[in-house]
Amino acid sequence: MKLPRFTLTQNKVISVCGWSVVVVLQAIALRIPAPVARLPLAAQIPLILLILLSGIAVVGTALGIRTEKPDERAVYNQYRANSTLFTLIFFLFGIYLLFGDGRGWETLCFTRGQIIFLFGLLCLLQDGLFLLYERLGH
Amino acid sequence: MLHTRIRELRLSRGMEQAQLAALVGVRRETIGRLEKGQYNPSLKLAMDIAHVFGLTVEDIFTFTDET
Repeated sequence: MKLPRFTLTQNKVISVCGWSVVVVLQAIALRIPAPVARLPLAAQIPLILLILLSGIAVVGTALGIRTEKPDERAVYNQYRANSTLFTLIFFLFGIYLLFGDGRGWETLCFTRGQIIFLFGLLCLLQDGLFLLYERLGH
Repeated sequence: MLHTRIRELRLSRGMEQAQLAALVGVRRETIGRLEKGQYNPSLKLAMDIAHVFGLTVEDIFTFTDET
């Protein structure tokens, strides 16, 4: 059986889907401890399969397995996506510094679960912005 | 704004976007964007395209000021 080859856009769409699942499930997991274990077995199996598929999608797309090589436009759009993401984080830090005083924001700390959520969100935004620039960017 | 003759030249040679893309080492989508004037190529890519058609860069690409 011959495996399909993906275009870079398809790769990013798959990546966005994978990271979306990670972000949504991690957001749920942050609110409800061990959410999968609380479900009946019939609901656990498809959910575990979804998590596994997302993991494969995220790793496969990140490694660029069976995906066309990026060209100069893709590299340019990736730079733009990274730059926009940096500006967003820069802006959020600015807000934190300006308005954090006296609101109990003296210490910024994250749990491992929150880091997983933020990491997924950053990857989702990075790929989403790339797709946006690919589609709309001149 | 960028205007190109890529589509016209490609069709006159019976070439698919994917074939031209493979010849100049870019993705098919990039050729599509170039044909619509929605992407300003690097000098190298412009020269590679011109080389494929046996023309100069100026024969294929023109810029106009549109305010």
